[in-house]
Amino acid sequence: MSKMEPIFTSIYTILLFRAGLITLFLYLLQQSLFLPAFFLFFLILIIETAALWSKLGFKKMKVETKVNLSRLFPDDKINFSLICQNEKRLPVYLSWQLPLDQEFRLLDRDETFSGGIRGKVYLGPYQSKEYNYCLTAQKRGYYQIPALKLYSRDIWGLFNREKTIEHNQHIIVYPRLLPLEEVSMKAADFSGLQQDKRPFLFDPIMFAGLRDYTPDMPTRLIHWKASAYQDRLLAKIIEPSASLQVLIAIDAQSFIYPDSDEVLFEKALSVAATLAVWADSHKIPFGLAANLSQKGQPGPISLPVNRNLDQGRLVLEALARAELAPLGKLEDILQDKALSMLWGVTLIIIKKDPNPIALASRFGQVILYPLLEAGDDL
Amino acid sequence: MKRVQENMADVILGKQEALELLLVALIAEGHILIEDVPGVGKTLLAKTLAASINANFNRLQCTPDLTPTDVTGFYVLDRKNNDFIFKAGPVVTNILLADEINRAVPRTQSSLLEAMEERQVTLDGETVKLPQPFFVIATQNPIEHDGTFPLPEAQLDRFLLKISMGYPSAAEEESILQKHGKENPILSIKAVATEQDVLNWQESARNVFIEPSVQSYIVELVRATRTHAAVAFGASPRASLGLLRAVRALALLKGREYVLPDDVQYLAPYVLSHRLSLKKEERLRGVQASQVVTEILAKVPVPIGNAGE
Repeated sequence: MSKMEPIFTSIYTILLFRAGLITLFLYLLQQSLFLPAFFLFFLILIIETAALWSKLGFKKMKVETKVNLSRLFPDDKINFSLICQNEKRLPVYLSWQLPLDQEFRLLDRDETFSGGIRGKVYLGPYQSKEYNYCLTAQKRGYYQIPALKLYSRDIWGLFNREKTIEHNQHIIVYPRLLPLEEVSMKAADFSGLQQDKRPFLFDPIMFAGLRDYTPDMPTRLIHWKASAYQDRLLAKIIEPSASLQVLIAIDAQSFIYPDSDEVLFEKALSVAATLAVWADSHKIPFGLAANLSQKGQPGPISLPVNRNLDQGRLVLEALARAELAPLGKLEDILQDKALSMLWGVTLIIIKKDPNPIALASRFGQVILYPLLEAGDDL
Repeated sequence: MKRVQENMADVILGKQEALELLLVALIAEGHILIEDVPGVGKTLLAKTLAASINANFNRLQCTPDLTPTDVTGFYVLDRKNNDFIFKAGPVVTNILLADEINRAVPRTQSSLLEAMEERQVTLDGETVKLPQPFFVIATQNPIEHDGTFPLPEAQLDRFLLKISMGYPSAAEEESILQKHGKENPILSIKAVATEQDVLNWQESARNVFIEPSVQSYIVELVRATRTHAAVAFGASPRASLGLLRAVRALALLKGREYVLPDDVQYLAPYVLSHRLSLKKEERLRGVQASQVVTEILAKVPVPIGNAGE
């Protein structure tokens, strides 16, 4: 969708002034003042040519914008392309302006960024040019790219016309990922075995059958009774009693009351994103629940635990859209989720304070993740 | 082939493309994976095909507690003869519908590997040949992920095509209500071909002519998937073979004795997309395998020669 409108750039854009010039020209002719009339005629000719030029500037003109990435991590590079195509004989002078959020930074360009992309071009007959802007995003968030403003002008710069090119492009910047050591959560935490140095009943524990023993197996797997009966060494086949599943939860209220702490909230989102990416790369089913509102999406965040290939993207996208505005209680969301959840899911609650919350009994174990200070080790 | 397609089109309304792809997979001796939301006719499609070619049909409803022997069958002791006899599982059939395949645990999913690739099952060291033709139609639901197990790459590679059916248009939905509102459409369907016909079509498809340059085009497309920046693991040589068989089947279905580069371009997204394993970072950034295939199709030069003359 686009609209085109003339804008005031010089006194010549005022119709009344131009009508006055023509009247004066006719008066000079009537008074037989040919030399001033000739100069005035020349001026009128230039003005009207310029007016017509700027008016025809947008005719048969194609302008296309492209963003190579719509989802990215902070400091990733985005390529914003602008393709201008003049499909007529008349050459055009174009300039453009795209105001962007202050969180974006322009790379590899001498032009001043000053909150947006600016540029200008002269396009000859049937000429096409492409401009690429390399941007980088600094902060997590959901950013709608505003409409592109195009200006067409004549060679003398007397007339300017503006056209707004609406598009529905957005950029989602995921939370910054933390080094795993900084998150300092061991895989053993998820199965609740961290304290047991050599657990007697280790997980996997479910007895599934017997097979021939091979020397690479631990001797404690040998089923002595069956081996004696069969007169050959047999080993137990054991399988996990439950598959590892993780639900990451963020308690937004703890970051609001008693004091609002945005820095710590951002860190909480980063911790959640880091855990999600870790689970995704280890093919562990994971989900996200948070009593947070999301920009451009209704309701609190509630993504069921699963191992779908898109799950990582969905969780990161929800975290990118998150706003520090609590929606209900985390306990209620967890209670609702617990009803449709398999038994034994490990719940990791990220909150500001170390106080536990009332939880449904379906969760296998609950790990509380208090973020006391933004700089603290977790 | 046309009669089968028309016969099925009477039941499956407005899904010409899905029907065509289903027949391509059947004729190309492949298997098909249908991913779509519930209620768009995935199961009906499988039943209609089985009824149209008068083939044996078994349905396997995949659940997490399904075991490999529930799929393949098992040996039981025959007390009279004091010997073990084979009790066939649902896989011993012509057309197997593996409904919601991603609900089965990976161990059970893997029990289909041998059946799909070698058309046989091995139990206790004994191999049982499956009836011919053997065709697996698997379905999975993209919206429900609780308690599902994504298909491993090796399993996905066994499916020649992955398609989705999509919702019908308003007019098609009205026709569905009009036609199927009173009785089950499967009851009215009649067989218009036999299993032997299918085997003959498969034989004919193998002899469809393919120009060397078009064959090279297939190889180039598949090789391009292995070097693409967003791809961790590209398509395998099985994908090249699959694409070759699929384009031959499509040409036969369209009544041609030769393959066109257009056939390759049309089928490449269905054959290659599900076989690509994208890099984690690219996947998180929302890059889809189908986008990669489209990009590759746009980049790899199309052969311009005398194919089909």
